[in-house]
Amino acid sequence: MSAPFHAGSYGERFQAMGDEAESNFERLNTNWIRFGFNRPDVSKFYQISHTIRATPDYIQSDPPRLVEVMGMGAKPLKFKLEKMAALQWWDCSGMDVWLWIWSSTRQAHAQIRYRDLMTVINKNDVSLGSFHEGKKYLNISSKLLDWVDG
Amino acid sequence: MGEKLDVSEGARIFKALQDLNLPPLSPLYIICGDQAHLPPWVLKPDRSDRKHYKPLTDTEALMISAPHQETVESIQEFEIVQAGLIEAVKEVWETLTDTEQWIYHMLVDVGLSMRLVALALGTPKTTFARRRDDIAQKIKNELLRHPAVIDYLER
Repeated sequence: MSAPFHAGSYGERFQAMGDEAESNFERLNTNWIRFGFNRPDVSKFYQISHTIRATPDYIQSDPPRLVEVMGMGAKPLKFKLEKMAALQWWDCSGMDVWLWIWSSTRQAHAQIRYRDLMTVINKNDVSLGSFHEGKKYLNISSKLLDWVDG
Repeated sequence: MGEKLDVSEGARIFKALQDLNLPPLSPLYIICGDQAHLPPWVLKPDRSDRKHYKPLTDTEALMISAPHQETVESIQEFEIVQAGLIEAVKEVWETLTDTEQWIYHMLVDVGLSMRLVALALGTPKTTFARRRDDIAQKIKNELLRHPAVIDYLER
């Protein structure tokens, strides 16, 4: 059995990042336009400002919103602090940022406004973890989200 | 214990900054175009409001004032004051270290709880609370000694 997604190196995670979640988002939503980067084939992408690198994945017009799509399995959702900070910038852009989360275990999705997620994070006993490369993330339990069958 | 940490002046300053829902300072938003999401004090005065009419220039302000009446603030003057205050905030922001800017960003812009920011820094909550209070004090002191802020407060 292969190792869980979060346990892989950044390179391994990069290869499969977001595929399943994004295809389910596209299947279950209408009125969307691809907005953010999808594994851009350029060198030194890390030199681009983090706010731009973390451009939300989709833009929707009805209702108008920016959507960041994320995937999770049986383990809690890992929400990187640097992504959280970048999304806050987008949330102040005049359009609300939403998180759309696909659970491969539940085969269901949850969606939550960025600001509401911050409230959930602050009000619950969310723990902190670190990826191999040292980047910190918050562990958000799936129990804190409202799921809709996919 | 948690409550004790949240009643200091630093805590109140950070809470007030958070409640103001300010545009993020890093990267700094350029205040132009759609301003609907900005707090009202950043917005330009509404010239269509006849009751609180703002003259466009200092000359117009002078012309519409009655003899011996103090002239009202013109939009021109308002913009100069606003630009000075924005510059003051920018300069004070630059006096903060990278970590201090990060702490401000996480607490004020992102709105993360003190517990989580302290956890991310690997600092005990009480030590972190003192650090937050120091940052608040530093911001306050630097702002209060800035000429644009002194002028504004003395008006």
